[in-house]
Amino acid sequence: MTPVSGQPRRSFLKAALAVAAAPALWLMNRMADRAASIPEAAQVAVTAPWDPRTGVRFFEQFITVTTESGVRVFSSTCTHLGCRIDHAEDGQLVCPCHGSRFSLTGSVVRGPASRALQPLKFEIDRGRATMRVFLRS
Amino acid sequence: MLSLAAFVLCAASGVMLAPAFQTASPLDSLSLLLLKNPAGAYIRSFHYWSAQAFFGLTLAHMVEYLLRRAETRTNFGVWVRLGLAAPVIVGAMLSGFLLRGDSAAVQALPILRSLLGLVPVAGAALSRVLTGSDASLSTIYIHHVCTATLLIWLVTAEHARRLFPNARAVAWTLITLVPLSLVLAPGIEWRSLGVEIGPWYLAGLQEFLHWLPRPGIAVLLFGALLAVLIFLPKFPAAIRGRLKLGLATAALVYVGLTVVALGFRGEGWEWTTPGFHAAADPAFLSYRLLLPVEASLVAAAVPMIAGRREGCLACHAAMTGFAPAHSPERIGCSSCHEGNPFTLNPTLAHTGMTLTPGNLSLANRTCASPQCHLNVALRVQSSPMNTMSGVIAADKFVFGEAKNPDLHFNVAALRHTAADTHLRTLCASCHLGQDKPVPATVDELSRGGGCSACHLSYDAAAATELRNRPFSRAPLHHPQISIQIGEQSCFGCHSRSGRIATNYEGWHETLLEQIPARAEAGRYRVLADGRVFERQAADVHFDKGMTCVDCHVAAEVMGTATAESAAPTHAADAVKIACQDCHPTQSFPMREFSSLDAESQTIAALRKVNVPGRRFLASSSAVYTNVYSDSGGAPALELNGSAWMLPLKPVSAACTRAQAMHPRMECRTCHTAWAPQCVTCHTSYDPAAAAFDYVDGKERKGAWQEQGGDFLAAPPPLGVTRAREGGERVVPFAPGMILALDLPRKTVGVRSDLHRYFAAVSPHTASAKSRSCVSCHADPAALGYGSGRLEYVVRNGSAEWRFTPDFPLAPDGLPRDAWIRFLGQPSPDAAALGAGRPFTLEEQRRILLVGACLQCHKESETRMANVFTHFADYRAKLSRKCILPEWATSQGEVTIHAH
Repeated sequence: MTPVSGQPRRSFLKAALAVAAAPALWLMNRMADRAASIPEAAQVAVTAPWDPRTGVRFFEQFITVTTESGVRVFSSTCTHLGCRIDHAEDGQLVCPCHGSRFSLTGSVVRGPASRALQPLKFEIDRGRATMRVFLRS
Repeated sequence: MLSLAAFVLCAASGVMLAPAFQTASPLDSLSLLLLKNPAGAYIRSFHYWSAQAFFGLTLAHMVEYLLRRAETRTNFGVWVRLGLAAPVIVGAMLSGFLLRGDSAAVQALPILRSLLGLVPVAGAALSRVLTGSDASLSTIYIHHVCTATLLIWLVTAEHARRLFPNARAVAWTLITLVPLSLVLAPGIEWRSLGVEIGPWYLAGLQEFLHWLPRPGIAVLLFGALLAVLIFLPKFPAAIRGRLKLGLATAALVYVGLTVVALGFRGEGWEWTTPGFHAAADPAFLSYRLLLPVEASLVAAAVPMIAGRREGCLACHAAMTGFAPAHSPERIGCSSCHEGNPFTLNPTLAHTGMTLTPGNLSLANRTCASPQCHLNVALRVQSSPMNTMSGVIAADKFVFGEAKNPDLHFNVAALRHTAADTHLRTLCASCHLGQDKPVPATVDELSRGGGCSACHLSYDAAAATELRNRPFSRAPLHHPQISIQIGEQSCFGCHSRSGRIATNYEGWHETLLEQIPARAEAGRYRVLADGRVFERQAADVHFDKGMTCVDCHVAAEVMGTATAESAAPTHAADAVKIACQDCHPTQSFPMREFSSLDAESQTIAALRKVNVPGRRFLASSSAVYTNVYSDSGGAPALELNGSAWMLPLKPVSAACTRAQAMHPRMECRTCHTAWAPQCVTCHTSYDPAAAAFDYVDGKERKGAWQEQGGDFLAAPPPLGVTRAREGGERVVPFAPGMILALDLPRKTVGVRSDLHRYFAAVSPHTASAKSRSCVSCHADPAALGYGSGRLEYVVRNGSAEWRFTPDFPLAPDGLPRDAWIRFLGQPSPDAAALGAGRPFTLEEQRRILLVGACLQCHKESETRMANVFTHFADYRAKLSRKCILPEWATSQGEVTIHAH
């Protein structure tokens, strides 16, 4: 039997390690994927106080914009890279991370964001002065 | 070796930190560490600085390696692993930043996820595997303490060919980092200030992303640079040199972007004045751990307030005087006063503290932060009380710097024209945005102060404590922040210009410098600024005990601009209340609590008047939570600051009859008893004198000086203005400006111009008794001719009106106090500041025609009441004794009808 030198053995072990790592990474990703797709207990709709006065109101996950022409509710997530928009200036919604500006109708006034804010569905219960905002459509 | 030492020490300190850190509540666990665990705070500081040292030394080592062209002498496999370690090192640093769980970290996490998701092919998987998929930091924590640490250690050990640093390197690292960690410790950015800047080493990327239309380009670019770095040894020497030059250029550009982000970016990522941005990295907030903390404080309770630990309350928990909404239990101290709530050392806790958080210049961080009253503050900032728009518009119009007096201005944007300096030195202290420099009780001299101008009130205990500053111990009495607004809050500014505050209380400003000797008691009053006022009739509402905010409720005082309606230029444009709201001709418009808007509901709740079954007055323009009815009968007004109820009265039958004859008139037209009228003001400029510029807050050379002339307290002239609801209204006017203005010329000397502008006013001198018919129909001042003798002269079967003015004629040919020429068609120059005009010749004749009748007939006669509606009948049967003016006898020239 021909003796096996050390060099091919190391190469073989490295290759085996690489081959073994690939399914491990796949499995890790699969697990993370599964974890993300499990239905969450997280709310799909939230209830907040309803204020019919004109103005912009910031909530954790959404922004309400009440003008004389009606009410709009947007996701507070900036469409650029996902920062939470929590700031208004000169009648515009401003992202604190990269300075994207959105009009009160949600359209982009200034980049870097290129997509309008995501409008959210909502229901207003005037009797209870509350509004129910659906975070996912 | 030093780098390895820093890394090993960083890992060791990280292990020591682990028991105190909670991934479920990262911010709270770090807050408690800073507040209650000095040793833990120190270990965290050491962990931070050892990580920074490792990062910095690794970068330096990498540069040195490239400069020495060592890439070719290194085993390629090792080189590849070193290159791949670069993003792992950045990841380890960034994950440490994310684990702070503060406002900057919370914003950084979705950015990281988004950028990882943009990596071609494996983006989504990378994002999930490295950061998890929910708000929990557990995945990031595992990668921070385990994955990244392990990988970095393995690669470093392979590269350095040793697992541990030598003793000398460890000693040098300790000598450097131990004192540094004591002096400067990383803090926590506990709230958003309108701009979030990530860790300093990623600020350049943040600036780059601001300019990039597609963030994926950044990901590809950084990936390409990493690939260049990794495969550098495989390129020929000549290309390698160029590639290194490219890498160096990219590094330089990145440094430039970093400087821009850290030094020149402010709120909303807008350009700001140069200066190191404290928000960039709280490590530079100087939490000096060497400063002592009293042992008793370490044991004191530090409550959780509004989602954060409030260290301030370890010392200030005993403070009293708060209304519930702003009590420390609800909002803590730092929500308003800033400072540092995460230390128990008094010096550090008070660093960066503001004593006057109500100032509008600070409001975006205090009262108007997004968590508090942002919307209200936005409205207030657009209010004429803050912009001074009406004052500026009128002033610039008179100075010839604006084409009309209705343009919109803001005091914050004043420049240095003649009108601007006039406003800066004489007027600009009277606006809400004027910063209050130090805490002070509200008095006659108070100006500005933003939210606290109205909402802060000192009781005796708080005022006494304030006077005894500086405090030798923690103060115990805080002024109250509430919706209880005292009259003093309005008095300081509104006792000037139109002087409605003094008018309302029945005081008229005189030119006296002191109270005359032997004056009867109570006739004069001297204000804190030295002006002497003389007693006149007070407003009937004042006599009833009403204060300003009983009528001027939040709906108008807090600003009326909406997102889609412009900010009002003039104060009158912002007024919502109408006399008819409380004195309606029909029924009172009442509404249930549940049908009120949310803000009115909040105000009603704060006033504790939201009793079941109660109905509130709600006109078409405003809701009055201070006016309500429990029984369904006529409502009553709850007087501000007392439990006294004032029953409201509908408009009287006499008023209804008069209104039918004068449909263009408002209540104030007849019920204004008097108005202050300044008729001969002289304004000049002295370039040698000094004046205080209230906008810039400093002395300036060149002063405007005003010499007042006659100052009258008399029934006001009348004119015509536009009604809010459309159409025209006859209302009181007053001389807005009758002045000689000496404008400095650009060359030599001055140009003196006479200006004569009247303005529609609400003098706030309402009397229950209305003006008499004669006081309008046969009074020269009422018609705008100025004061004097108006005679109806009948001679030889014809009649005419004659007028002899009291005041001499000004250079423009009119008596000094006049608005228009006697029985003349007003010239187009006879303008009004704001919407309005004097009576036309036809209107004057109509008024004087009734005045002619009133020469013989008393206004109480029935026929005088009917003359408006049955003019043709009366005219047809005029007796021979009735001699009308010549211009009224021409067929069809003048008719009387309701006006």
